[in-house]
Amino acid sequence: MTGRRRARGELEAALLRALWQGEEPLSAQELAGRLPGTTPAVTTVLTALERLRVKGEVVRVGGARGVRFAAARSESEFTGEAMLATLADSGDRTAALLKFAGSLDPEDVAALRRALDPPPEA
Amino acid sequence: MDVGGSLLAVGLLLGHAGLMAGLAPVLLTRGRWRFRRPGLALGLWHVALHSGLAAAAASLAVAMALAAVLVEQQAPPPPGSLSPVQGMVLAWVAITVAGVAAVVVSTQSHRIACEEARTRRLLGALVAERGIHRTVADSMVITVVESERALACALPGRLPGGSGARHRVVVSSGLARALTPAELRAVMQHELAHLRLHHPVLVRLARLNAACLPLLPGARELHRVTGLLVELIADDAAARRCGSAPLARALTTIGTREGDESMLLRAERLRRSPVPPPRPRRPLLWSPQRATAAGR
Repeated sequence: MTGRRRARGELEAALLRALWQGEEPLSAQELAGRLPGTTPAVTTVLTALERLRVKGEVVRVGGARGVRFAAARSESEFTGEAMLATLADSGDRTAALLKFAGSLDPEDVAALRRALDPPPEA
Repeated sequence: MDVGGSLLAVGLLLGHAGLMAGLAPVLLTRGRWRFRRPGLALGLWHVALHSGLAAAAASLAVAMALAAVLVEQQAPPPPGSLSPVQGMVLAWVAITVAGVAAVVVSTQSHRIACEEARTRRLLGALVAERGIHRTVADSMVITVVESERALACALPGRLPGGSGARHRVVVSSGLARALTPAELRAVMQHELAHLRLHHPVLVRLARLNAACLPLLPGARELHRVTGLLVELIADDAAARRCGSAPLARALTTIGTREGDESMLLRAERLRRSPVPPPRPRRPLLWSPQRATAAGR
């Protein structure tokens, strides 16, 4: 049962891959047909496309043949941004990366705040 | 071999290891001094860590030596001593402890090495994909990558001896645009200080220690405080080279932009107690300024 159902992120990733492979904007029906494995319902595809549009990954292109979709960024732009986010947002104390921002434990931040708490005498 | 004396030595060594593991988290995690003197605080942590580990290892060695003597003894044991059977039990206990420790340490270091390799690959891919400018200085490769995110990070090269092992510093173009040249220099000095002062080794060691001794509060604490103390040490080192003011401004700008309170606190700490400005590089006995001043 669970093997046939696609995870939410997986469907979005598959849609992006299909859009990158396609030369021109595609309709939801076309996209559903190009997905690997079981063909999902067009409504499911449209919901996932809407989520991607809100995230800024997909743009809607209105045309004579109905609404079509295109990737907002190229594949390399997308992977670059994803890699950067992984590096910037990971807890770096686990992976040898010494970052300038955002790597401290909340407990330590609280201790530092307490140490600086009483304002200096003017 | 004096059985009583050896057992006492094992007990004392284990006691020392336990004392270090118990005392360090109590004494070294309170007070404001550790934020003023982060280098001293981290140094004391490592005194406790290394002397504790050395004492534990020595107690095992003494126990094994004692067990060997007991098992080998021919004459019936004098009263108050241990029998060969008791010696055998001691030997097995010591060998089991040493074996378990070896397996745990090697498993955990392998896991950490895999994690590091993944980060290295990710950073390498990012540099290949997005790198727009590259400078090589000493043993470091400094790369600017195109992104609006404010990212600055340092990744150590592989351990010395590896081929082409270079330290990497990566800065995003978004960070570079948000800062003045002086502020950016201070950020770079902060990252270089991490590498120069071997912070990657300290972080790795604290992580390995915590992974091998997950139930020991001292090990968890060391891992946690290492993250904070190396940042403060690198801040001070960078401030000594570039001045506290530009680094504090950079921390404020990036901290506000990324919504990171810890950076604003680090900036506040630098403002409260600025690090002395860089000393003149020239020898103190003779300098052109002094010579001209004396000539007047």
